[in-house]
Amino acid sequence: MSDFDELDPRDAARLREAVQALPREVEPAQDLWPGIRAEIALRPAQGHGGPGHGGPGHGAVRWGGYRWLAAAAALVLITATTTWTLARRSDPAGGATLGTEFASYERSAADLEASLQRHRAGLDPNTLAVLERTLRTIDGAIAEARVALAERPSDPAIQAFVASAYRQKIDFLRRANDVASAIGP
Amino acid sequence: MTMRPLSIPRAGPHTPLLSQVRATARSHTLVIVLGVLVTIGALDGPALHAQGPAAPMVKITRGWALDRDGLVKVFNAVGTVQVIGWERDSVALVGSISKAARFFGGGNRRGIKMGIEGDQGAATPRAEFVLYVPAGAVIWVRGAATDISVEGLSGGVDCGSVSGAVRVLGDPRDLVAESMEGTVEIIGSPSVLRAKTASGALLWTGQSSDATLGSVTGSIETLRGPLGRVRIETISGTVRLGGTLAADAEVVIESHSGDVELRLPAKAPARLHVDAARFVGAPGKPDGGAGKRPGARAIALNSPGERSPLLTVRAFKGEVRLLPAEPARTP
Repeated sequence: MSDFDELDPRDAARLREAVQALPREVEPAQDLWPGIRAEIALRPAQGHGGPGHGGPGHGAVRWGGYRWLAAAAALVLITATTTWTLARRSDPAGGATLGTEFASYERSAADLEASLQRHRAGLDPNTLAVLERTLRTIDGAIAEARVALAERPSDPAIQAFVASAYRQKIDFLRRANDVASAIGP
Repeated sequence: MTMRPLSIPRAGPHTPLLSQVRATARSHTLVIVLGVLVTIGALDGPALHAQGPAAPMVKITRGWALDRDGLVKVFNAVGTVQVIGWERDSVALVGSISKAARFFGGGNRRGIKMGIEGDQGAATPRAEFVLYVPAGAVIWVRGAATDISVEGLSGGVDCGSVSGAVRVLGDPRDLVAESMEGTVEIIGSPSVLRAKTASGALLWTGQSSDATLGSVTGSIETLRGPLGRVRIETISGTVRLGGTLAADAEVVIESHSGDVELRLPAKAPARLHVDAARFVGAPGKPDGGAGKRPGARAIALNSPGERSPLLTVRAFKGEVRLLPAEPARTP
């Protein structure tokens, strides 16, 4: 039983007709991105003149306007630093934290691969071959970086390389899913 | 796969064809658009058929009214899609589709969706689309073995293919261009750019304040500039960074095993932070520090200040080379 059935039949018919006349997709009436971009452009980049870094007067004016934002950011920073410090104490190499981060990447990748698998039947063999070849390349890079990380677990550069390779895998899988859902059945 | 340009007259905003159309049709009614369609179709029909595959193709022409900032979505799994911006509030489609395919298309003044579909289990139908759309429209195109080209648009552009080439000419406001195996070539300066490939090469000639370029194995090259905030990521593709840098440029390059070539202007000040397996051509010394990799160093180029352009390059296995800028070349 639909909600329409609770209405007067004539009202229900009118409502049904009005609903059917609605477009399936509606673009936002106002594109907000140009305004956001303009606002970003007005603000100095971090480390290039933000509060405490920029010209004296400029920074002071902005600080007044963004006091609460800054306080919130400071709170987040303190919390994050405390958490990180405690984690480091429990595992001097930071292995547990990194392990959690990489496990999170792997879960996301597994979810996206499962989603891609569902579209598999609708993709032609050439497209599938491209996707599989590319995934093998990325997985190879991840494996290589993780071997290096096992040898030097506290090297922040190698940690960053592993994270970067995972991010590229997630990004690629998202794109592959986008393609599969667009051209698949 | 290389781009196969359709042998139709170029009909960008300033070409003779459009001038001719402008001279003969002043209003923006659908009836006149259809008249233009018939004219263009008569000019281009034989050429399109001549380039089609062996499978029989049939010619189609359609027209719709669309707001100047309306949305156009196009699906075409195999073939070509050529999108050309024009100064009209209407969309004109000229093309050909496999005889067995069914064309679908429609919408309202705010948005139009179109594409082709075939019978379940049959071979994927092919289409060759040439679309004339309002220059300020937002365009979204998806394909598999589909070459996509877009020119003369100032609105948003989002196009993606699997094995086809993607080519964008002009300065759309926001641009997303992706291909897995095909080449992505962008000649223009979008405000925001996102371009990615898997094995295809990616070439960008232009400037942007916010650009992200990525590949898995494909090469990535930038030319001309000035580059603003740019992020480049690859697994094993070669990266060639060329062109000038904006005064507030922040460029980050991350590569797993691909080499990175930096071709910066000779006298431009810049701060360069490198962490690589190997670094060649640097006038500086390693910044030392226990545990640093051989190619890790910070270099000041041409006496930079604290606000000079900043380049950060991280290459896990690849080599980073600092080279003189190449002479300007025409793309």
